Amino acid sequence: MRATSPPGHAAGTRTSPAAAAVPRSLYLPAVIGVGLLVLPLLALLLKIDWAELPEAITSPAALNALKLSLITGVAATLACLVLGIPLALVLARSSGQWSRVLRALVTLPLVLPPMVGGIALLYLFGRQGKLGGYLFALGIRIPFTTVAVVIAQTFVALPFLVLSLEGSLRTAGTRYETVAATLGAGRWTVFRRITLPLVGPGLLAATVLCFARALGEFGATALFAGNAFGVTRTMPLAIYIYFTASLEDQQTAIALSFLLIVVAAAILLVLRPRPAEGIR
Amino acid sequence: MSYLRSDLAVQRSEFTVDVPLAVERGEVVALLGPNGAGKSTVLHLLAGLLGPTSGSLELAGRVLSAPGARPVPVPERRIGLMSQDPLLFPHLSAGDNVAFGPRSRGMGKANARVAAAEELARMGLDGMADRKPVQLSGGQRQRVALARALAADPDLLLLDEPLGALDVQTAPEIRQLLRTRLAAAGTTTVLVTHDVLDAAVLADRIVVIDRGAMVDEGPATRVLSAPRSPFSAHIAGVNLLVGDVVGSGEGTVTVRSGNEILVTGVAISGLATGAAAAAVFRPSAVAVYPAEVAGSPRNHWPATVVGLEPAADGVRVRTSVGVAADLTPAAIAELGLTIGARVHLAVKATEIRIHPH
Repeated sequence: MRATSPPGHAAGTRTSPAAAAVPRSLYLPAVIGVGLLVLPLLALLLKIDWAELPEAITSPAALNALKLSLITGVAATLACLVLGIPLALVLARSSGQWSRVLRALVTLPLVLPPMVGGIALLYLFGRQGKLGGYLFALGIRIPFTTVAVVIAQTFVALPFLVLSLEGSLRTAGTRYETVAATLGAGRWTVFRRITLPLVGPGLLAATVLCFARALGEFGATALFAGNAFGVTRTMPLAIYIYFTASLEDQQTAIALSFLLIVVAAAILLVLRPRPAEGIR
Repeated sequence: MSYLRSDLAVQRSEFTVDVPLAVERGEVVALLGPNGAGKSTVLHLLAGLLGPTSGSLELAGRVLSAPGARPVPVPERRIGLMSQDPLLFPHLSAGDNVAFGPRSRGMGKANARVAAAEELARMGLDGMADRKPVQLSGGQRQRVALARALAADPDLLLLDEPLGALDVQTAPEIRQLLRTRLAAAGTTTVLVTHDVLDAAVLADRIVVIDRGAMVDEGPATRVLSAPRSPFSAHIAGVNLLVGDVVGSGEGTVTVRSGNEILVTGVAISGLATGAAAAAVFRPSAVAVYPAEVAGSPRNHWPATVVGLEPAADGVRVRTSVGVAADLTPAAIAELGLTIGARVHLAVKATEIRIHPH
């Protein structure tokens, strides 16, 4: 489909500011939409007992969950970078049927409910699992360990990194890489000195997105890693367990939720679209 | 044995691109032709960016591509490529862009930086090494791109429309710089252009390409002054009528062209009746009349206008007999010329040169 400009909207003429073109009747649903997104967060913030917040945040339960979340989140993000950058490059530089199949497979965990991912991971790495059987024989137990948390987070976050980075790589194109090759640079040099720096801003955005996804991971972790204090109880799991427990524990859940909102806001600041300096 | 010898060919959807090349060391060869003739395809074959369907390539005594053998990969060919888009690495400074080639070939950081600074100085870009590409003008970027290509010390330099993206003020400057730098560095060069001026100024030899095949080839001065194909005449901006000599007079010969029109002009060398000959004359030498002309012109042809297009100084009128005439816009208006108009063309015999063909 090609976009065609309506009659009277010849190139170069500007009859009205863009906002005036929105039909008035659409403002109401737009406002309701904003309300639906913002009001719950506002309600949560209003529920916070600000006097007790410092104590709630520094409670052993909260600090432990925060520490575990940061450690596993960083580990999962690193794993995503190590595996995801090569995967994104392979996808971006290939075309045809196989690359379409591969892309669909990579996208699958993105549209799958994380719970399903957790069950699937359990059937691979569990004692009765295909791979887990061998690992257990070697004395390696993965389910319900911190390693399982990292694997679950990597499983759900990797597609975000790969697809977002693949887009950046495709946009950057191969023309600079071709020039670098004619100047005598081998593939590895081209990758290190041209390909990666060119997608720098895109890679940063993809990494932050990946980290945010890892940090918020709940479903796959709950099923594959469990909810053991200090081992697999990351912030989302802690929020769940404390919120559904006794009434006094709810302040811990709210404090942790507040922390996650702060982290999310910080991530949005980093991701704020900036002009990619130097790239024409 | 030529320094560069190639008979690489590749099958394209429309036609086969098959332009054999033999280039001597230090020679500058221009591939001239219209858009889509396959010029850039030839360069991509040489650079190894495109796989050939047949043929082989030798450069500086090395076989880079041969049937049945694994082709030498792009980075190891020592063939530089510069296109109309300078494609400076945006994240590197001008100096680091130029140092990229030497660094990739194993030169140390400090030495590469010195080499880059020297190459930039030769391009008239002293003190610009720390600038990022966005901080440079279009002409400066193209200079850095040339410096970068030459700093890699290629055995062969490929220039793909190197002046194509520059404005009319900058292009002559860069053209002159290319000429002096290529001569000083002695770099063997294959240049692709659709601009006759580039070929005239830069090239020792011109290869004219149309639809993937060579249609004319020779020293630049010969191809531009005495084109051997209608096509090279078209791009050289002259009229060319090819046929057989049917008669001769006092220093003149008459040729019956392929499309059955008679052309009388000054013979460049002895031409016997029956010999193949080519008549060459400038579009500005062609007069256009609305009706048959009374009087002396020896060459006088009825024709129909088939095209009107902008020319260097005025309008080029293309006609059904394959002869173009250059007129001023005022003359076009006065004659009321439109496509389909019936006209009479006249050219003085003294304006026409007849070459052996």
